[in-house]
Amino acid sequence: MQDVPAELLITISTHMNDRDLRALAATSQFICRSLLPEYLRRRDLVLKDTCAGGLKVQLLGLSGYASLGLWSVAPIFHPPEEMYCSIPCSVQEARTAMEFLMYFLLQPSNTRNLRDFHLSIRGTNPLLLTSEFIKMRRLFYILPLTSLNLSGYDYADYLPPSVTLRSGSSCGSYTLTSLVISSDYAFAPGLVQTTMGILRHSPIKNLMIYMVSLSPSQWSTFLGELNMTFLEDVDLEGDIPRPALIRFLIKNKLLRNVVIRGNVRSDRIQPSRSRSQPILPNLLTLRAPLEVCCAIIEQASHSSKLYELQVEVSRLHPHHEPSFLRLVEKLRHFRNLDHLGFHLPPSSASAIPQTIPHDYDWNGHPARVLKQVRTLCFFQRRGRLSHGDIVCPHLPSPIYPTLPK
Amino acid sequence: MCAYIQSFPMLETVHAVEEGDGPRAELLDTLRKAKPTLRIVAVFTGSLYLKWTADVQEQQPFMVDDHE
Repeated sequence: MQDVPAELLITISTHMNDRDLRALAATSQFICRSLLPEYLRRRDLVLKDTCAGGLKVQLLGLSGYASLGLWSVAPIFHPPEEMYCSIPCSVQEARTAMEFLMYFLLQPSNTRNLRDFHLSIRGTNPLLLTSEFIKMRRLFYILPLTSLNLSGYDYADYLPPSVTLRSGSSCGSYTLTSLVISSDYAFAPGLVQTTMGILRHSPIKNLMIYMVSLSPSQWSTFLGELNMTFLEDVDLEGDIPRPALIRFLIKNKLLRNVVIRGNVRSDRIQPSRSRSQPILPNLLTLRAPLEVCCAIIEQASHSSKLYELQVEVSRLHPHHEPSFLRLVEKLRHFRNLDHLGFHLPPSSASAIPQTIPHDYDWNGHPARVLKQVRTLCFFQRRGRLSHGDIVCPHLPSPIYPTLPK
Repeated sequence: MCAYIQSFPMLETVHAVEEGDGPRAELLDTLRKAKPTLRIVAVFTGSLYLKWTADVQEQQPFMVDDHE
């Protein structure tokens, strides 16, 4: 049978019903490899690269493999280095899919080369998957992953109380260096302990968390629990209280690249020790809202090699905001600062354009002292940069009258 | 007479990145004339992005290096 060319097998398979096709596919790995693409195509399932010996497995509609009884396909996967799995929204399908996934992942021969794992859960209420999450715990500790991505969209009304974030497993991964969380299910019952255990006990260098619904108090608890010895890059988006954020930055001394997005809340009470000691001695790049940039730069060590600063501003002319002037004043101490960027909100969210007085003293502008800055960047989301925003309106008459209003 | 970008005495490059539609040659022109020694890198995205680059590719390169 193995002498039959794959093309002929596929031609024959088009005359077979699904039951016979599955039975034939299960007779040998060669036939399974040959027929599987056609078999899956009929069901709108996608299996990428595996048959060609690729290093990435992408399973879309994972429950389909399980519900069709395709357990036999697992052995034909070449041990992948990367794996992307999407869990469908139906609870029953999601459970079946996760069982199928665990069946595959629990075989060491399947996962000995697996380094990058992405699990996307779409629309399923994670509260209904608690037992599956508990079963998955061990996987995250034993797989030789260096990169883990938990994504998807789901309900946000099950987020655990802050106390849950204080618990957590005492286990982590020995190999994981990159973690991306972009869905609330990472903090759902059954998985939150695993998430916290991984965060606490793995040598994570790169951490990215966004599109999660943690409340300010949960962010405080969450960040307070993390002391990540190896952390170098962090990207956080959320409703984060500023004192908690600063305390987190103080703790993680190896941080080099920091991105903070979202509504970072100020607090009148600043932690006393954050005022007294320089932070982030290894900082290279920073992107954050203006007030956060100020808070960080005011306390950051001048010995850092800060090379790039990107500031989120509410408008492009922050000249008259005390915090901006304060920031510029502090920046002159950072002699390696080469890039300075301004991120603008969507045009519709912008305030009424601010007019700059004609007699504004540009020669006395604090930016004059920033002789180290070589590159200036302007980023405008969902809108257009205004000529008058970047370039002062007092341009020579041959230029400006030609511009559209 | 002064411009915001002229406040930075040693500025060499300006990046302008926006999500908007339509031709932006005027903005590039303004930036170039504001400080003739600047290297200007502009990235414009949007539904008309392809149309715009097709329209102006002969006259205005997408990435403008003003040292020419």
